[in-house]
Amino acid sequence: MKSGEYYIISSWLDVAVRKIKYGPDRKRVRRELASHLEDAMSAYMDSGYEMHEAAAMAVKNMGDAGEIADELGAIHKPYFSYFCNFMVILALLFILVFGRSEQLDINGKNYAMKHENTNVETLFDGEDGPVFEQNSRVEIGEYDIYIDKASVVDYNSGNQTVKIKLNIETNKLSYMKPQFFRYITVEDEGGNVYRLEQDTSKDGLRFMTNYGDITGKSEIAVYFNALDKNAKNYTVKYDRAGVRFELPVKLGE
Amino acid sequence: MSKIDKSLLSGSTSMLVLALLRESDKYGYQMITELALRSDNTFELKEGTLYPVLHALEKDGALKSYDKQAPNGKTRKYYSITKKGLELLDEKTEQWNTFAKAVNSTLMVKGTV
Repeated sequence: MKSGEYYIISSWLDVAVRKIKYGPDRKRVRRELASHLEDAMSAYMDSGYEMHEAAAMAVKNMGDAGEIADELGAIHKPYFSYFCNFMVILALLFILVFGRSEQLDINGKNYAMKHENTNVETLFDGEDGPVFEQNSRVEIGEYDIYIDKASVVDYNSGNQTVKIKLNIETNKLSYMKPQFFRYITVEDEGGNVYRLEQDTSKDGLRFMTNYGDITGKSEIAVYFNALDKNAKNYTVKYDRAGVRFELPVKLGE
Repeated sequence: MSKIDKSLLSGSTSMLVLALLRESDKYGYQMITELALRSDNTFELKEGTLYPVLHALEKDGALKSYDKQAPNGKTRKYYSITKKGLELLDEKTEQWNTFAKAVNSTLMVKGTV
């Protein structure tokens, strides 16, 4: 997008979300509105309009940014978000203390914790299809990284997806930074690349969890949902700051 | 077909949104285009006004949202209707029918229609 078009879109978005006081909410809403504007712009450009005309029309059709800001601000009250966060922390503390529940669903988000009896299979909800068997393993410094499981999963809702579970074992969990996981990607044979997301939901199309047993050997599981259910070959990749690995994953028939 | 007065439409947007989502999960821009298409552009509301409606319905538990990646790599926020949303739609439809019937009766008495 050229700077002029970017400015038109960006200015409208700035005003529309300015009354959402809670930062993460503001970001999410801005992203959603920006996506709408991009779709509208693409449609106008497909109809033969120039980019600057398409941007102006897309913004005009969105309506008065100030009025929308008032309405959005009234809905996205910061204290509600802070209250939700507080409740999540409280619930996680409850799990840590009592160590009973493996999963917790709060506001559609799924939180998973590990305790002695965790059965990781339960995290692969739904009916499993063909399960992958392969010894993909790589050692990087303190880390022992391997594919633990990959499977086609049929959810009861009718959704079908592919999950890949990557395990990272280390004796020094405290040294492992969360950023490490964020740069792990999965690429399918069609060249589609899937990245980990921070926000996840169990019944949506993304799922990620990690957990660690602080005493003794630590294990961290990272789940990917691959969206192209037709692909059979995937590669788990990491390439950053001099550390690089590629682990092949082949799904059975 | 003539456009509908904005004030007439604003109160019923949530009902139209719930009706669209009863059929399948959709993202915001998709809802706007479908509304315009199905109503022959009668329901041409300002597009940005859809989002406060969606977010309010989600906050009330009538909708749920999730992110989904399109084949082109673009991630969109989809909305799906909940059981509570379906009940709300029934309620709103009933209210709408009662209202429409009463308006029609009044107009007919006056000889307007």
